[in-house]
Amino acid sequence: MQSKKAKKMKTKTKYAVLFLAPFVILYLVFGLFPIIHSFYISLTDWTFGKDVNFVGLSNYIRLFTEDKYFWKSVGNTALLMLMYIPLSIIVALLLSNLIYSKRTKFKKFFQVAFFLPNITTAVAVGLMFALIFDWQTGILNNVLMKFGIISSGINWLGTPGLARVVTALMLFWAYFGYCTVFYLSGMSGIPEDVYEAAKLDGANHRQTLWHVTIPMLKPVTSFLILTSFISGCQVMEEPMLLLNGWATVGQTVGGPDRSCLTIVWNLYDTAFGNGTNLQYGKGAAIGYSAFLLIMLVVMLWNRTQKTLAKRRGDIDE
Amino acid sequence: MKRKLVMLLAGIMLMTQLTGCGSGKETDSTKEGKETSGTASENADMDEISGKITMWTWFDISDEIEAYEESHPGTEIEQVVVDAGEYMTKIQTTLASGGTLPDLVWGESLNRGQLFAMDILDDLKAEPYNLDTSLVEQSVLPTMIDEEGRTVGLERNINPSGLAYKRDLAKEYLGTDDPDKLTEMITSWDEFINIGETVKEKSGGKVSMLTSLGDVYYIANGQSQEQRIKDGTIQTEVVKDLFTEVCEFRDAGIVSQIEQWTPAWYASFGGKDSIFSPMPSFGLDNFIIPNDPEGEGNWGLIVPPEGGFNWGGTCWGITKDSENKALAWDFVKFDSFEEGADIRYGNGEIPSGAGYMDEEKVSEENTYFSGQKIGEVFINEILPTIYINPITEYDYTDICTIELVLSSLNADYEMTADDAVDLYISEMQDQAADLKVN
Amino acid sequence: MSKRKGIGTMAVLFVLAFITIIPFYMMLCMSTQTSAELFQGLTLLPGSHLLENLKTVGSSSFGKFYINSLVASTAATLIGTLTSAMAGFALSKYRFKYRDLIAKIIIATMMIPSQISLIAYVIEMRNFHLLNTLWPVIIPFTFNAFGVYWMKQSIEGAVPDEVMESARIDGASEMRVFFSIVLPFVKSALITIALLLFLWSWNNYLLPLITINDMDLYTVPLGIAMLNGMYRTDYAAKILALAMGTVPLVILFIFGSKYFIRGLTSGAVKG
Repeated sequence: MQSKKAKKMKTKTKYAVLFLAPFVILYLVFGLFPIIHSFYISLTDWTFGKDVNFVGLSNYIRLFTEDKYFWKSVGNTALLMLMYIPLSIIVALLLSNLIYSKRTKFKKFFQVAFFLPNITTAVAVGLMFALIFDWQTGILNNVLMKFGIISSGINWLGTPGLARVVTALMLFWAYFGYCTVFYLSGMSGIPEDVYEAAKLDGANHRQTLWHVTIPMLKPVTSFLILTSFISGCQVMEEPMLLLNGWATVGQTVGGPDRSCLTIVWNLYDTAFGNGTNLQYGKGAAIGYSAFLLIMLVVMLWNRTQKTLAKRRGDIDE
Repeated sequence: MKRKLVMLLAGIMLMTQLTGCGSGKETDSTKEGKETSGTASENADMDEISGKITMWTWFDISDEIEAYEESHPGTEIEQVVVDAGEYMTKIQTTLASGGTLPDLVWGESLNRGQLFAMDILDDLKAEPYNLDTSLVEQSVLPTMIDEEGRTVGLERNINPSGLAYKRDLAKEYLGTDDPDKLTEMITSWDEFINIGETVKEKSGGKVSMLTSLGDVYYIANGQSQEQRIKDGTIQTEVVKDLFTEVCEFRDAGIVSQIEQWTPAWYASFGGKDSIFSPMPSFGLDNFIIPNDPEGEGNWGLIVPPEGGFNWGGTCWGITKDSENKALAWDFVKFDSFEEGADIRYGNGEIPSGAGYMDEEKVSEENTYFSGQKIGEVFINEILPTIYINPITEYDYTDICTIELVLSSLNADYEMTADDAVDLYISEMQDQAADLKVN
Repeated sequence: MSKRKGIGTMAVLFVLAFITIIPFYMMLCMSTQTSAELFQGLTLLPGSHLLENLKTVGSSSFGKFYINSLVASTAATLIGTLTSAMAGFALSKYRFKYRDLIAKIIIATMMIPSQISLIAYVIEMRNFHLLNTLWPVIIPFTFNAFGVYWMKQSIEGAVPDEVMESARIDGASEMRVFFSIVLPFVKSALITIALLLFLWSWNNYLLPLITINDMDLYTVPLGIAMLNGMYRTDYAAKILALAMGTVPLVILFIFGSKYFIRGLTSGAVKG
């Protein structure tokens, strides 16, 4: 009996390895190898065109203690995320519940419509937002002035705080439809009899949403929270296209007062910016520091989750 | 059934495509170029022109390439058009990851200091090229020389720049649209500012002289014969002069609050809000016609007070690792001094060959400029007075920082020239820690 | 009461849909205008410059870019979806040593900004002699940690263990269990990740920029970036190129959206 179970366990392990193998092998060869290589790079002072020296942790130390923009970019990124991620997820949950409701017509249409911002290319989106929010000629200022709400135009993209808000707005606009797709996909996995049972118990819509749908969607929600956080930490393209101006020459970095310089924009500018000597060592160090910070936050988050769950469990008992 | 068929077709397409490029073109194209050209350069004296070269450009020059290949059988020139915005990134990343560059590259005037400093280009005055610089328009020579004094670039075009204006606005607010009378009227920048103040009054603050502080910068910078960065040191006085001039224009209220290179700036060429725009010779095709399609005949051109200036430029460079330098050089000569130059002139460029713009070309009347002979202004009046500062490896950092400071000056009218200088210096040192300040 | 509520719901949905569709619609309008019209303000009417813009974009070579992108993205999507589903299955339905650790490591790999390994990756590609094939732009999407995590979450929630067990008792092999029992349960999750992988690989820019040095292998984003000028970009033409680049994505997404609804409609019929 005992050995049979062990044997079963063993063959099962064999299959698990088999199913994991394609991913793991590809990852080890093409993913992990360059990642480890770049960790080594982060320990050097490699700058394009100069000699490469091993400098140990000094890139990191300088980033954490001296560098003007690293912490600023961390703060900017955190602010942006606070503004768009929670809102996106909540709106997505409510929206997909609406779309999923039996009474709603044109389901397919809404689904495609909400995802369109993700497909509409960022360059076009950047141009449109620039035309709307331009200080002197933008539509928004013109409308506000026509209605006498403001007397002179607001410099939306030239004022640090406002530039952040507009960037977050753009991110929210592009992101909530993306979250909706995941919720819809998750909802299609909830068995119908669960809803039937709720109906029999006399639950109304709000109660069903609160006590059936949301708990059943917990895997999707935790997936979205975690991946949104991770992708949010890596935001770069949207603020770049919104604030970088329209010339190829003489691009500025980070928006007004670098208020929208995100971690990865900083990394990109350091290691791949056009026309300055690229600093690969420092760039890699920025990337790894970001990784460490993200990891730290995720671990704290997990720990709080666990403590909370435990406490809740205690109360239940 | 149908679905299976589609899947099968897709599968076949995928396989052929992948294996096709997997086996056939496995090597780097630049390397591939080397292999084919290797034979050519082995039995290579400069006379024998054959084989293949590769070049990276940022716009399509197929016209010149096709003409060359037709008149030079046995040659193949492969062009790769690279995003202008990521051109230097591609070059640096390719080198950093151990790759080889193509035989020919381009350098833009703003970031070529960077390219020159990489020490990857051949000296064109040395063997085997022996470039005779007297063949090139003399005023652009400084842009071809790196900080070691080697001539590593060959300028493709000349870019003399003047001051363009909208004739209807000039007539309404300045009383005349005649270029000669305007030149007489505007004898100095102080005069320009004075006139601007009256225009502002007359129009109720609606019409300005220039669109953007960036416009002021391009003029002031182009006319300045002082280097902001010299021998790795920021020349504070020079920087201060620049921003003082910019602030003078700004504080007189004769410049619109539009930032350069924004959609609003491009749109201003077709608008009625500002009279003048600094205009390089390539500006007609790049700035005016696309944004002011109705404006034919409504433009005029004058030499600005204190003279014309240069704006931008693109040069050829031949990489040290090129293995078919004979062909590379022959093509560059073709493009600069021979038939290629004529093709480019036909496409709206002004080739940099000395005396290329003969009397006939110069005296063409331009319909967009109401029949004015703008060639005479650009070539006869402006070109001889142009002075271009030497190229340095900090040029690109400098222009990025300038843009940033201008943007701050534009957003905050309380900001003074001194504040601007401080911001400039701290930003420059952030990006290039080895810079000293003087 | 309930009907009025229904109308309110629809109104909310339509307003939001308007906000999300309008920029897409405007992108299409912009692609038919001149750059001058574009900069002079937003309009909701199409212009008359479509043919000229098409000429600027250079429709002939664009076909080639399409095929390259299609090949690369299709390969990336097929392989990436399969590896994600397999690994997700292993991590959610098998018990083995280090399972949770492996799952954690996979999640952790998502946290490393992909840009940092670019140089090292290009060096590796050069050593494998894969530069100037489409492989360097395919490979990074064939192992997607995000996809694994998503499939793990989906399979965990949607596939009942009993169904798998009874299939096994009927003598089904593990492969069979995976392909004919597990995958049908998570069809919409599969479509989701496939669409996203396609979207990401289609829009991928930095990687092909660095690794492709042959215009015969240019993908759509590289083709679009060719329109970037130094001092002036023909934005109308560029937006047309961008619109042309997004059309395949929209079509794909319209087809894919059918599968999100399916769970619902079949359930509705049953009820």
